[in-house]
Amino acid sequence: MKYTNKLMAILMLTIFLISLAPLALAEDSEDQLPTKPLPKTKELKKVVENTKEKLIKTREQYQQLKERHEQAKEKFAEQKERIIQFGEKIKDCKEDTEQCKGLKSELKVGVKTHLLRTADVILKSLEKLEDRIENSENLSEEEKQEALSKLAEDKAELEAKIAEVEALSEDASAEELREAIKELKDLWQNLKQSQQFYITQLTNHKMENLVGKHRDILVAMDNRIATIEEQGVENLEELKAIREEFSESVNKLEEDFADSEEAWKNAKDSPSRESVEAAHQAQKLVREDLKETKDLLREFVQEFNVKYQEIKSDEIPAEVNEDEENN
Amino acid sequence: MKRTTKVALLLIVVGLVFLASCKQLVEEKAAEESPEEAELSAGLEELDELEVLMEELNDEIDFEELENLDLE
Repeated sequence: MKYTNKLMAILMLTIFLISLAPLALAEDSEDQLPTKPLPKTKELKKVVENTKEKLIKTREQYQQLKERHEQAKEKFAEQKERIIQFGEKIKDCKEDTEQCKGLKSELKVGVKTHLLRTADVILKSLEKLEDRIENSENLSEEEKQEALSKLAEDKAELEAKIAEVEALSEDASAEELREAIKELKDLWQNLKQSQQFYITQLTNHKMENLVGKHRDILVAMDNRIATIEEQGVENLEELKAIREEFSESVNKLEEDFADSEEAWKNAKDSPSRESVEAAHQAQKLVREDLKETKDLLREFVQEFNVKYQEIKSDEIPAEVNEDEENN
Repeated sequence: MKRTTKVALLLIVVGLVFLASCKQLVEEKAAEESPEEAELSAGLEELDELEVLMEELNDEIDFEELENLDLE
């Protein structure tokens, strides 16, 4: 073979091998972080995968319910606008003319339609909550059954009210309409209170689940820092500072959650609009704390991954593997 | 230009492309979401949905217009 041909062949082979290198680096993200400092990573990934699969299935169903709710709200808003316009026109009726009589008659039909659309929005809202409860992983079976049975009662009561409104004749008297408005309003107040109660319960359980994971995350952070420190990575001040900030945020999160749980217990023991609202307000603080810890965790992981790449580029993973083998 | 110079230049170009792709890879890896983050994100998303439900209960329905209508 001529010298140029040999050279070209070597060159092509070199280019081919070099182009494979990033692929090899990208492969096997499991290997990105050493097994030793992350004893729960695989387990967590499994949990996340299962949760994701379930989420995809339930999300589709919930999306449909949301769309139906949105449609009901749009129809409700349109009808509300019509009613306001009718109300304005009727205010100008100073005499009992044929035109005014016609307007009043149309207004009564409009009120009936508006009541039905209002009831429909309430119904769709109940269906959304029912779906949330059915698919909750944090409520006990007993709590689920209790909540679902109460919501089924609420739904039946609402459907009975819808039937009553539908049965109102087109020339229903003003008194009959006012009575129907009052009854639906009272029913809405009761249903709203029970929905608020169950949303607060769902929130409390979800928060309990999330707050409980933070101590494990702190341990995982410590393990990660220890491992790369052992491997000789320097300048870990930034990483350690984020870990400290995360730790302080976890303390605050736990304190706020203890307060919110206390408020929730109080609401559960003596349910009232005030007690449920107090629990909801306390939960808002916990939600803010959770957002903060999530942001800090993100910062930590980003910083850690950068530091971990330093080990990889210095070919230290071989030592990590040796260390793992020794263990 | 000598053949060896051409080869050297070509290798330099390939080397630069390789370094650029490695840098991108490191950045992508650094931006990857860890399982713990994914779990917290999913949990927060669920809490946000619940908060939306709560807000809707307070905002969407009022009976004021109906009560103030002159139905006589």
